[in-house]
Amino acid sequence: MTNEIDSRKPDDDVLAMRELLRNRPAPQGDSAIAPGTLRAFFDGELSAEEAQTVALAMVEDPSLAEDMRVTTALARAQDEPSARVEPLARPATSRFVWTAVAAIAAGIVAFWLMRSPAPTSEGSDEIRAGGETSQIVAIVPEKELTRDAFDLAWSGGPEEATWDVHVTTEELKVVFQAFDQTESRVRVPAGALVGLESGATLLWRVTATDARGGHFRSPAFPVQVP
Amino acid sequence: MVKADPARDDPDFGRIRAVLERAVQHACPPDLAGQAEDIVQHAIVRLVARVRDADGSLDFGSSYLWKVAHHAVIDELRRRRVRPEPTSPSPDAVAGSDDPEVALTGQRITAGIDDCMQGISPDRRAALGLYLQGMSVPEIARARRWNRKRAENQVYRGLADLRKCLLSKGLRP
Repeated sequence: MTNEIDSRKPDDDVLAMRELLRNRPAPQGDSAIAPGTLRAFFDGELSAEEAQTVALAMVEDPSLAEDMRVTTALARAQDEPSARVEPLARPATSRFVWTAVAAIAAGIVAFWLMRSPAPTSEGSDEIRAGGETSQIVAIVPEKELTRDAFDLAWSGGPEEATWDVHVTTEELKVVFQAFDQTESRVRVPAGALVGLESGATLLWRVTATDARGGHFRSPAFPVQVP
Repeated sequence: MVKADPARDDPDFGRIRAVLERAVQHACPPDLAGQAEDIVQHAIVRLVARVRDADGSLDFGSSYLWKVAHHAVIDELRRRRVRPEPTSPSPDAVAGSDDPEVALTGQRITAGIDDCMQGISPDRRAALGLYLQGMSVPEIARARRWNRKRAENQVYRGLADLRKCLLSKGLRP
């Protein structure tokens, strides 16, 4: 156990304590604090006294802590550029145009995915993504993958980041997820692959949370089930 | 003023649904995380009803939709705490219960954290509590309207207190 805290990157025992607290079932009953107040707390809109009251209440009340975790997760997602939601109503012509654009874009992406070489550890075949500020590179030597050692790895992205990993089928059915990973690799348990045919394509992506709370998301990387 | 047509199959709901599901899966214990899809479905139904009830008279911009979605999913979580529904344990929960020794150790450490937190000064306890709930130091600084250094110090000192207390009980996360 280290005596130093790295505020930019929670160490292993902090992650262990977070997991223990997350897995603690919330008692039945209602939290007294309105969702709007929780969001105002997250946004720093409460007075010092109110904020202290809310913060201490969260320590005492696992239900409220759970509500706050959801609030935090939503606020972070909302801060991502991709989370911006357009107004619901749009002229029919505009809707048609956007639908057509989306269909064309989907076709281009599908075509690109089909033509892209499988990610490998060799530089020339790596799939790069995320733009210049968060270039994330998949490192998956597919020849070495087995169902018992289905290891996904990547490099790039922000330094001192924690990572969320999502693996889905091509139909976007979730196969495996991991959150707050401190290392740039994860092993998908063999049990998660049960029922998937060998050769089936999975899509995986990672999302980094940097020291300032910023998020960087890779696009989906394809990988074959061994 | 933007008029809404809630009967339409608008893809924005798909995006909101995906984010809500991820948030619930990420933030809740396994028993509720396993119900994420169901929880979010209820929230989306309420969101659509809210849009429909407004009869096109509201401006459904991004921030409003997120606010309604946030309220709906928190309300649904709270409803399920009051009236828990039958659940099938998630794979994580099953894995945890398969090893009683691991589960017992986890319970001891959790109880130790609760006990030790009571002995930490209020500012440190509040900062550390937020940190252990998954907030980052910059997020804590923003919420408390502290500068980053102060937030970092409170978390640092609170964590040091907690570690010392846990070790005195023979506990180590």
